[in-house]
Amino acid sequence: MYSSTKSTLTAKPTEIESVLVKAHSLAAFANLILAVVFGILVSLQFVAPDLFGSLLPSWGRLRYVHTQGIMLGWLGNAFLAFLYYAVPILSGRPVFNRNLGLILFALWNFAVMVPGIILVLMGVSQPLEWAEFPLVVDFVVIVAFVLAAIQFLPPFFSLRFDNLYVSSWYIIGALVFTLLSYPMGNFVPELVPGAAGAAFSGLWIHDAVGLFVTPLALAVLYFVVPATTGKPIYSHFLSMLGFWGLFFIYPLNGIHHYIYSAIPMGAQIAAILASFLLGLIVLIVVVNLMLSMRGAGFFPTDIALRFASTGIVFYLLVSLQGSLQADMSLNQLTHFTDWVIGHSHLAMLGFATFAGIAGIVHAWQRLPQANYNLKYLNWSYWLLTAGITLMVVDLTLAGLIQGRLWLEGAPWIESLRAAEPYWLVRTLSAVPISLGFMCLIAGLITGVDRHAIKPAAAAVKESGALSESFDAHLGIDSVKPASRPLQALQLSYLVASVAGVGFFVLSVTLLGVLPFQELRNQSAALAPAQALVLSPSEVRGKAVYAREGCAYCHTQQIRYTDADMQRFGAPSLAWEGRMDYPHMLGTRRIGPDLSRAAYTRPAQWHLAHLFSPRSVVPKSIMPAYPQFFEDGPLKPKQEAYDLVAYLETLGRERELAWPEGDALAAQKTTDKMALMSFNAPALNAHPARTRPFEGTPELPDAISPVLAGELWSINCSGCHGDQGKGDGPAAAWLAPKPINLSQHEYSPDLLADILWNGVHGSSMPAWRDLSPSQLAEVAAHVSSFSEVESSVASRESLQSGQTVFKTHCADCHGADGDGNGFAAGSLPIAIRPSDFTRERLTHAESLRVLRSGVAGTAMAPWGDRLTSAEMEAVSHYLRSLFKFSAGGSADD
Amino acid sequence: MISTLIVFSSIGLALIFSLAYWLCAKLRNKIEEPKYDFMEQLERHNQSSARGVNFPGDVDDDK
Repeated sequence: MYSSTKSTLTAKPTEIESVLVKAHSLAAFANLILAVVFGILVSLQFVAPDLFGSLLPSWGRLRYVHTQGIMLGWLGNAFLAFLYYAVPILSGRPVFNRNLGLILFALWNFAVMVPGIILVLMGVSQPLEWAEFPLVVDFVVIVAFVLAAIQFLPPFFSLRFDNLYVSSWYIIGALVFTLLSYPMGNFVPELVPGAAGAAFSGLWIHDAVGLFVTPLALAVLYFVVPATTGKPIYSHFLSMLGFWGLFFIYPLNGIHHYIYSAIPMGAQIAAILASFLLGLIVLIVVVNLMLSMRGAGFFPTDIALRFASTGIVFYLLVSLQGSLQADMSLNQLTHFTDWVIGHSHLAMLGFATFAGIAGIVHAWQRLPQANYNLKYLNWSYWLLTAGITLMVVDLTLAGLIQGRLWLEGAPWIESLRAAEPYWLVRTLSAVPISLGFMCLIAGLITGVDRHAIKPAAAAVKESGALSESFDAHLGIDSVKPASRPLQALQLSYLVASVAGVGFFVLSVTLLGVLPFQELRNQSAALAPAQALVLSPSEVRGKAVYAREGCAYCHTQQIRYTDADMQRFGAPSLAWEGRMDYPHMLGTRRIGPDLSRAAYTRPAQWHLAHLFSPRSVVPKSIMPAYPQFFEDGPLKPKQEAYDLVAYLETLGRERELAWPEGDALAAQKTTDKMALMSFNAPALNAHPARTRPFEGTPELPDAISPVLAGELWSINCSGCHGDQGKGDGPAAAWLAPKPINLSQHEYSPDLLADILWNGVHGSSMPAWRDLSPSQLAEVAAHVSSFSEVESSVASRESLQSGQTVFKTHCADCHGADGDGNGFAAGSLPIAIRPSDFTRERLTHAESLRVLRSGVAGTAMAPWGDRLTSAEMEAVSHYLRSLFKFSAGGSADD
Repeated sequence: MISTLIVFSSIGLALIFSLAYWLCAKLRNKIEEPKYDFMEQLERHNQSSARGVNFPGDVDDDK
């Protein structure tokens, strides 16, 4: 029993709007079910990308509503339900107005969540992490937060902030700071382009968790723990230290989402230091909460307390993980990987969700006419704990493996293959999680009402589990002092409040405004004088890219790391995103970075890839977009043309100015990061980019037919088919069609050249992410397909063929048939004429080509200009030119 | 530079706050007071709930 000689709290019984508690709780569950379903649909497409065909909205749109559904729909409603229960108790006064509560409920659910989800699924959205709802909905969210502030803050105002309990501080802080940070994260990136916009976006990504979700979750924990154990928290001093530390330091963390990016290094380092400091603050909070639970056991009997207890453990883990991730060396390994996805699930589905459940269940236990089924709730706890633990451990391991493969320079597809079993486990973890949520809902809508439940606090008290608190060590009585409030303390809270807002402004200035100024100056100095304005088609394509969530799998930022430079090329300079409102930097790489997508793949490859990704990249998990086509890649709709046009703009400006542009710009700066970009070994290092006339490494002897078959299946079969006959799933959509390798024979040096440098102008990419030994295996596999027969021809036939060749063919193919005719370099199509000294066709294939030409190349049909005898003779002559580069000669 | 300033000023403020808390019993009592206020308010709420009074939700539900 706690006695007081004075209280600022009223003696009037607290008035709780139980209808609104229940309404927001039920809305929270409805949103939770939707968000989880969206998450499962997203997850399933990692395992079976074509499972749903074009039945559902695209992967990106589902991903958008999944995150917004969890943050605003589930957690937002859960916390509002808790506030309606807790604020009257904390303040001793009712909330501002019941009708306002009904308006807020309607606004939050029917003017934010319902239209937000519908609009995003229809393709009206913002491609910004944790800010995916469109701007029109963002305005409503802000109005809702204003109403929430009007609803919940006046009870605290009436206390004149006299010595508020820590939960009250967290509630006030969350409402005030979210109102400040939400507009910044949702509106500013629309006005500030590229990396500078990303700096504001990064602030919001962290503020959404740190200034909205975390404070309200901690308010729940600081409420539920003492209310359930029946003893005050261990130390209010430590709780306030944690509170002010959190609000001072959290806003400074945001840029750690863009470490090694073009954002100025000073801002990055500030965020890294703040991240480490935040880890210390979280330790204080967690230690205090855990000490407050002494005597309750590791798995408390009270189910709300048990959720709270596990939520505290999740909070500790996720916060320490967050601090570690900001470390630059670990960040190189884990950034963009599933580690980060595991981290965000641990934060939102572990810590925040468990706190949210604790708050709802605790209130539900005490609400009139509220059913309560402990058995279901127990099941819910164990299923959720097991499911979330499985998911987070699984994704963390997947992230470490992906990061290692990326650092080692392994082919991109290897990181997808390595992640496959982990993605399957992640999907399976949805089973216990979904069942857990169902049990939670069942536990709160079935069973008996609260009167049948023995209050857990009483149970704890009766068991004598109360233990001594921090106060005993410091000589603090459990009886409140009779003295007047210390003026100095009140003043200090005022100062701290002003300082808290000041720190928020400082964080925005330090990590948003200053980087923006610096990047603007840098862009003015280093960018080409005239920006290349996007064409209408390219602008539309960019909107498609944003709408479908492409930035959630493909970054547009080559980081200032060796691994990124080797794989993608020169790190991105800030000015390269000067046209991006909002930025498309991205925070996850499931597919490769697209900063230098221009001039890397031909349009027909992109079209085939968009229509059916696995036709050209058999192990790809990219979603298919058949909705962009009338009837296959040969009949694209305007959206497909626009999207491909946009992809061809990525990196274009710098590429067109290169190398003179880079050389000139390098003279104008001493900035180390900019110079690192200018001095990168290659502007575009994409392994698939074709590089005509570049050297070729010497390939070793092939030794493993099994590996060769595997490499073929993973990389080549989509176009060339399993048996190399040029009949893979994508073959019909490409021009020129993939070579039927049974009809061709190559000299080893030409084969190495094709594999290493690609065939410029065709869909045959370079394969520079394969090692020379892997390429040797592929080359051996290619050679094994060849059915080219020995040539048998009379001397007369060869002479006749030579005459025809010199008359009609030598201009392109060269007098010696080596593909170096005088016209070869000026053909309307970039694909070079065949070099017959290093490539030989079967006689039948030669005749077919002569008769019909090769679509997609400059090789015209000669069937109506040459006689059959002439074509026969030319074919024999061409086949006679073949020599092995290793010094061998043709067999005829 | 500014990062170092932030880190050290934060740690410094925390130390000053801790020291004041440690040295001044009156301040200590005052800082810890809200947690007892909270327990008291909870108790009051539980008692009024037990009496079944003043739940606007109940009134509405009954209507």
